[in-house]
Amino acid sequence: MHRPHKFVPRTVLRFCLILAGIGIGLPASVGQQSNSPAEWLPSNSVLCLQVQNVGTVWRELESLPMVKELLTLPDVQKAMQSPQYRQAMLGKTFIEGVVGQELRAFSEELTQTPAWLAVDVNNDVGVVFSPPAEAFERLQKSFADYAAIGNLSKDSPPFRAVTYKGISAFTLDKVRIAFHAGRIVVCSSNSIGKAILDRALGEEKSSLATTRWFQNAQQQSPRSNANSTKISGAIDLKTLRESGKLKLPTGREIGPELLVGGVVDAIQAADVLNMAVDWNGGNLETRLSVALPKEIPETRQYFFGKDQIKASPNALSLEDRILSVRWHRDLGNFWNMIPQIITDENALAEVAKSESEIATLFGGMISVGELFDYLGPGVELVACQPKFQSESKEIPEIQLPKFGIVGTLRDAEKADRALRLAFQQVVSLSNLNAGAGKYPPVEVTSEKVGSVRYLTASYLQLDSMKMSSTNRSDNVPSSDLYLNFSPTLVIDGERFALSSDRNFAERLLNGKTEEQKDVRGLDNSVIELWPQALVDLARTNFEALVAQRMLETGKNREAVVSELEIGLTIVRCIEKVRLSLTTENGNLVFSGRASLATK
Amino acid sequence: MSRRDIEKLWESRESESLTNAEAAHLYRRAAFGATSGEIKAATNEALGAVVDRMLDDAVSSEGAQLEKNFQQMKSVVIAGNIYTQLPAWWLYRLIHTSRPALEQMVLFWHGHFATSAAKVQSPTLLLRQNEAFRRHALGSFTDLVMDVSRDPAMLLYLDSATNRRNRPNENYARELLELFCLGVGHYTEKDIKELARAFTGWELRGETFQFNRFQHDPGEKKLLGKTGIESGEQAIEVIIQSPQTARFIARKLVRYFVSDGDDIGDDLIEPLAQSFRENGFQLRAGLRKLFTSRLFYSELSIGRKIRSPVDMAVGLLRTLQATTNTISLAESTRELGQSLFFPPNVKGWDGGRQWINSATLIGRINLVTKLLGPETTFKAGSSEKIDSAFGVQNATEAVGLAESLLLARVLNGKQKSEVVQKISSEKPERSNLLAAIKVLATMAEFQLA
Amino acid sequence: MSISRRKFLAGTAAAAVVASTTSVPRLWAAANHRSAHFNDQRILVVIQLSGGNDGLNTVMPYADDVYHRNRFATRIAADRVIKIDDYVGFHPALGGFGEMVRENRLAVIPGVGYPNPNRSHFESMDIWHSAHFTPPHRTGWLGRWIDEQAAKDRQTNEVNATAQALRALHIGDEPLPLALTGLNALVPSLKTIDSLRVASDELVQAALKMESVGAAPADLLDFLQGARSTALTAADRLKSIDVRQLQRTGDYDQSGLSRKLAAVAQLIKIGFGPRVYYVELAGFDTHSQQPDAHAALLGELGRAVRAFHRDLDGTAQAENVLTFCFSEFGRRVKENGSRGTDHGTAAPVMIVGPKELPKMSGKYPSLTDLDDGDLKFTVDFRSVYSTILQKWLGVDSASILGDKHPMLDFLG
Repeated sequence: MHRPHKFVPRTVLRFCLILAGIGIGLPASVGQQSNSPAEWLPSNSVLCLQVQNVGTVWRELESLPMVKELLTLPDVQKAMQSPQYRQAMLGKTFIEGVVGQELRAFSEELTQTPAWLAVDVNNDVGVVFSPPAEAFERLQKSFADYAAIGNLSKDSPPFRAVTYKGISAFTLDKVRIAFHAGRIVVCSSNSIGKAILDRALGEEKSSLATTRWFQNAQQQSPRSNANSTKISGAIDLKTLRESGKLKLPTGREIGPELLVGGVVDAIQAADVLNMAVDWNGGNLETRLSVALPKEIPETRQYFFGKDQIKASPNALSLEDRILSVRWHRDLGNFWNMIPQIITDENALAEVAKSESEIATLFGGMISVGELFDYLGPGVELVACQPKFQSESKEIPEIQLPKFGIVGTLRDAEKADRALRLAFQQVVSLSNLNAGAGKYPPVEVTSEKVGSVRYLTASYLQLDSMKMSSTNRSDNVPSSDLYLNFSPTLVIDGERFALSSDRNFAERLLNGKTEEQKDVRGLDNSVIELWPQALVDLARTNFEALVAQRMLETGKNREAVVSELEIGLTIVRCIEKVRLSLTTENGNLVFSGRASLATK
Repeated sequence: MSRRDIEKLWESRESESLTNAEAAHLYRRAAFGATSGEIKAATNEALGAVVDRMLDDAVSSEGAQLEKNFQQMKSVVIAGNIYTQLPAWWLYRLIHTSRPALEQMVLFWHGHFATSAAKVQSPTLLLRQNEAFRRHALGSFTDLVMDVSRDPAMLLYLDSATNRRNRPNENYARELLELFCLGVGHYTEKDIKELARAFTGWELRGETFQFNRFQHDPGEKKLLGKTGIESGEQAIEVIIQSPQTARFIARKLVRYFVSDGDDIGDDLIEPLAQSFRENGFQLRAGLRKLFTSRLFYSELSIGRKIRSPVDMAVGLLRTLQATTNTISLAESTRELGQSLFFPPNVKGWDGGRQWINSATLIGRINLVTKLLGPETTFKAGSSEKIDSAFGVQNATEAVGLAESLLLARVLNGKQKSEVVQKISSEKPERSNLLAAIKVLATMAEFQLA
Repeated sequence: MSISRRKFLAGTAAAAVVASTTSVPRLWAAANHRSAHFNDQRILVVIQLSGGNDGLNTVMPYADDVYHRNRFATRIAADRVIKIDDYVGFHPALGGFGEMVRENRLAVIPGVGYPNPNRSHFESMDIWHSAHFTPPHRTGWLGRWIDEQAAKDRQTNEVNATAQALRALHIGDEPLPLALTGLNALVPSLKTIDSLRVASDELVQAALKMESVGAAPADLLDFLQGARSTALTAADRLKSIDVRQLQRTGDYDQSGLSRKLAAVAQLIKIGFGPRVYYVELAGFDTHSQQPDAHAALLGELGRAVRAFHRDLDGTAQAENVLTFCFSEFGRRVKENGSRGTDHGTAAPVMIVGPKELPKMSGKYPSLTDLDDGDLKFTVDFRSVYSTILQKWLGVDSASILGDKHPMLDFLG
């Protein structure tokens, strides 16, 4: 075995030992206990996790073509020559020396049988590994050897061998590592270590396994795909709440409230939160779930629906999507409920201020509440690639994505009038500002095609505002950001769309909705992002991005370009990200899924 | 001051070569500092050649790649219509330019013909004006004034866009006489009125200058005692030919480059003014005369200026061959009282002692500390490599180098040993040179240029 | 070495002793001011209410039927008004002001405006700031005051040994207000006072303790040494203060204005230097849905100003601080159809100070004798300025305002 190097920093060392400790739990054959590690973990645990087969993730990631491509980038290669990288590699070699195995193989072996991790009310952490007998013995010996050396480096605390009730254990600062009955226990403090070992010795009968919350969690958790689930676990919400450790921010701000107000309600009412991380052939999915409250409180009916849980609308099937956000929120209802929902005095004052400002914008003819009342609760916001080449002669220097909101209207006839009025009002206000010559004025054209009414604000390009750059010696062009926009409101009976330009409005209104694939429940809110499309957008505006980064870093073009290339290559590795809030089988499930690109 | 003394101070040193300290002084004042390599090179040549190269570089073109970078960034600032990014854009240019002496003069003219983005708000127009300063910075003052008088940003800033035949707007006319060419006391209120008439019809159409003959008052104007003036151009010629204009500009250049105190009398400035009168107001020749004069390297000049915030930050970065987040640098210089493209008023930055008060002095120390921190990228690589890149082996050498590059006045022995001791006794920094600068920046001497 | 150099060194030492041994801001401040003649330590805090504050609903003539008739949707019922006298009273959200009026520390100057009122936010604001009626508005009234102070300093003999004084400070995200712009004045505009703290870098902190003085052109270096020692002594005092902490423990609430005023109070307490502090509170352009929004703003104003003066009470500086609140214009007498009010003319100015202030200074404008639906101003704002300049800052107002204006009685 290696002697530890003098120059290995103390933190690396400690980290290594913990990892090494973790590493030791491999599929046990000899001496493995028949009871579950849950019976070892203390009964005051508030969080527990089972981790297994994480080594496969590593292997599969490395085999992805995208990752291989990334590693060949010159700048990544250069980074691998850097001192920091080499130091990290040194740490890796050190761990491998301690565990007597290559790190990846070690981690793979280590979690073949689930490792159990628990956090107790005092924030102490304990982990129980069940390693194969061979590894158990190898590590125990290796640790004993290191303990014989004592101080592993100049400024590290002593590494000592101790025994507790006949169990062989080691201490490094506050960390405790024990070897018992084919299992290895690693923990962050003496007290949790004793609690675990007392249970391992059978001296203490109550354990995590006997707690009510853990049993409930076991029942609730959807034991879906054991193979792909890498991490699963649960949190004891009730205890956390009662001990005052879980304080949910609520009643403060409108934005967060609209986004997750319903979730806060559910977490306030639920006893346990279940979680799982799945990895399956290039898809990474995280799921957090809590039981839905039996009755939806009045304040959150805008969020879930009144009598029964409502779903967000299905996505429009559009080409070149970058982002789609869909949700069910009854804004009219929400606005009425604000005094009940937003309780913070400063926040309420802000609401009052902004309400007054918006009302000012609309010249007092329509109020925010009124406008919200007309909007149906199912709304989609979507952004797509800008495609100027096909639609316009003039291409702006910075191409912003096309974006728009699609939804339905209540009381269509009145809503139609109110929306048109609001639109006109906003336009006239912007024309007042245009007077200063900063950007061109706008004219509104109204057009009726069959049952569909389009209200389009298009920029009037004044001759005097644009100069051909040929007769200018200084080569300073005019601003042309406005070429991006012809804000359009389109209303067809009960459907409406508000979009960044006329063509896109049409596409929004005529778009077919997507079939919902892979239905597991009702999606209350969905955010979908296509990182590859985002990369394409960044490519379209590469110069702008480069310039912005140059100003922010002061670096020259080459340096900035190569940094951006790495960033974009990494982002390109992800094909799609989907965040959703779903109600399924009486549970509220937050799930985040990232699909890696296979090409 | 006796005539002999004045003649002596204006004697040319062009055939002599400079000492290290003098070369560093020249580069700090005229070109945002220099690396030790540049200083060494300068000391091996005759001063005339050094100044010529500095000024020739200034009128030759920026490297193609650099120019392309600046232009691209410019078009992004314009395309986004974000006028608040203008200061960062220029700071970036100042840090990277291959023509620092030119940029120093562009900055001089920006302060002279001060136009603020706070009022004009159009990045397009402000950048056009900035390019106009760059075109004329070392050329003829007459051309510069002609261009500025038609410059759309200036027309907007001083409301001359509304200078009507029947209601002449005196704003630009007043500033042209008071702040741009003659100075208070060298014109009458009547001159302002007459000049405003000459400028009637100089309008803005969209984003460009146009002469509207229907709004122009074609009658004869009397200006500074001269008659027979009709057009704005003729009026500008008359103003520039006034002997006072040469004196006024010479005074301002001396204040900018030599000393911002009040101890340089008119008689000492006169030879520079006279050279402007004789050479057709060619700025390059005037600057050459100034930078090769004994005066420039005399006690009247060395350490007689307080650094501007931009000079301090850009000079430090260029000396260390480093670059930084220019958006946050722009914010820092704003807090220190100098936001490029946002001069406080039409008089520009007053400079000198006006830069200094409790808040800005603390801000200066903090800015240097920040510029030596993680947001800055050094050409030498990580900060551990800086000392070897600059050939510094220990704290004493580091203090010596930092002092020679950045300080206008050398420290006395006691001060120096105190600085060395501070660096050595505190928790070791990764670079002795950076540590030395950090300590020097806290001293009052650091504020002298 | 010149005499001024020696004198300067002695001064520095004295300042250092004071700074390190006691916390007597007044003494320390005195050490930093050459002469302690009349009102050299008086401080003015300007609070600008941006957007056009509805004066009629800030100080309302609750006893006047005309008010109630014109303000059907936005009026405050007489029984909710915090009464100042039997005709006017404060908006109920201004409990803080009510308290201070009862203590005779707050004066309301009603009906402040100017002839030929301009109803554009920008132009009217420029007029208030510059105290000039025709563009270009190049300098502000306080900027000109700073210029004048600086010119006076230059004329005195010992100027070379004195730091360039920090005469005014603007705290906020907004650009530097025109009011503080002078021809020579350089007024820092800071987002937070954290910019005034020296970086916590260990080496820098250690370096600040160095004492050696070098050779340089004596006058310039003396000047810089003086400025440095003034700045560092102030920064040293600032080090121990965490404004957020004070805000949590003091009377201050969490609002933006409270944050700024808490910072100002700390700077005043440690004698940081400025004679003028300038902060802004925006959002007063209440064309519709006014009642809630206006109440929220006035609440923020009243609570913050009360907390600010309470904070200073009992300190040596309490006697030296005058707060002045104004807005670029008021609103029209008659409300509009959307529970709001439109741009108007004259509006009340509020002065909070240490000494016996009259509750009301000046006459409330008539609600019936109107100018095209707008109040006729009863006090020219330049009279307010000139009273502040002469009676508080102790300078001749005519040179700054370009004209003589009648004095008001609020400062005795």
